[in-house]
Amino acid sequence: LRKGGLLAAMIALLGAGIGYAGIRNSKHDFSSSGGGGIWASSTVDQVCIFCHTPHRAVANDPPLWNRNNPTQSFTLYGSPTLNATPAQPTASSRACLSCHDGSIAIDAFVVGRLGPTNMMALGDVYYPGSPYGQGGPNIGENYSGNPNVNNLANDHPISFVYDQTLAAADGELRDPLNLPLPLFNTRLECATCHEVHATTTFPKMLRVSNQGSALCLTCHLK
Amino acid sequence: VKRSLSFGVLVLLATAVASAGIQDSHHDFRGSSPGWSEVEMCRPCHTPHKAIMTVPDSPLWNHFVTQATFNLYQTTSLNAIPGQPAGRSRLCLSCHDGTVAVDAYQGDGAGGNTYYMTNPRALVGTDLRKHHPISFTYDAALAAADGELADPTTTASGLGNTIAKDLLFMNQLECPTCHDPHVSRNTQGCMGCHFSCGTIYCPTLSLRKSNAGSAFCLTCHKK
Repeated sequence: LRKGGLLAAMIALLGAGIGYAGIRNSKHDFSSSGGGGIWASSTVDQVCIFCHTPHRAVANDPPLWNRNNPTQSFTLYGSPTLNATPAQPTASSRACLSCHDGSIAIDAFVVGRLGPTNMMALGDVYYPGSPYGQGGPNIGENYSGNPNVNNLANDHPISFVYDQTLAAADGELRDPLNLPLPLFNTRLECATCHEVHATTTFPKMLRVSNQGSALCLTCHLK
Repeated sequence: VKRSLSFGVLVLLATAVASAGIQDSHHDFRGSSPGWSEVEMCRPCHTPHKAIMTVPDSPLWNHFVTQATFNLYQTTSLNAIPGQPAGRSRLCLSCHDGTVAVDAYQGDGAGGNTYYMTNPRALVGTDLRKHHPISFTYDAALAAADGELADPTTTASGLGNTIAKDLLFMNQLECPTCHDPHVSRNTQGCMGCHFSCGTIYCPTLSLRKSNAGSAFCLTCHKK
């Protein structure tokens, strides 16, 4: 009985470990102790600092931001049936693109660095044709052999205003009032679908499960 | 002979290792350069008598207090309500805002008001919008409203008790919530910090506990 109890307790502990979600040891944990799911720094045993700093932040959108965001123009998504007005990425999504456009190294954070960046840009690691290919995290498709591509034309539109006017004009979009996903200044951004700190356990850091395409169908009335 | 000389230097260093805490830290203003506090270590901040009482929670305070008004941190996702720096944080800012000289304290034999903080790594200034918010009430209600903050009244700090008991000052988050001005984790004098710098990042022993793996950040932030 005692052994059984102990075993149950151990299983419960294990279960708690498996169920735990958070940035630590996630794909977004680039610390030297973080397991290196994508890439681990050889020198920096910090998780937050790759994006945030407690002092002398570069900007506050996202809060206490510690990266220089890409400033270039991106080729935007467009289609004949699109009612939304695509816009150049706002600060919220540019923060994501400060790694995921492929032109800026993951370890190119600003405050707290003593030396130059030494990590290759994400695009150098996950260039199209690598095992990660087009499905990989290099959304902007830049890499050293293929610079200045800045291609968002083949990605779901972001940084457009998603309001009741748009929903009415489109006819196949849910009324965003009481949307169970966050908008940012009424705009749909990367973070509308993705939770960057991996506080959920869903694949691709999605905010909600996409089983049965539930996430897509949250907005799309299809 | 050269070797034994360097060995001698090492022995001297090792002797310095015995000193700990504030001694030989950046908060130790004794000594030759520039020797603001002459032979006393505590006096730039503290006095046993006739202490300055204008700031609440300021133990036997001796340094002239900043009168600055600060720009406060604010973002759309912030639930906390930062106030003008009060209590302990105003004491820190009485050097670190750059408006009051480091050597501006009662009974300064050196004349005072000479050495202003200029090092950008240490200078916080009066614009707090680019710094982690301070001087806000961090309680169970805030944790519940935010949803991504640990309840300070029940969450272990890692220092023996709860966040509220170990790290807050009158239920407020202040500079010394994270930073220990007396650098008690420093057991190796200057070299405690300066030998631990990597090529990319330099951890500071002024933190109350190790931030390896961002463990200190994640004490409060549920990310």
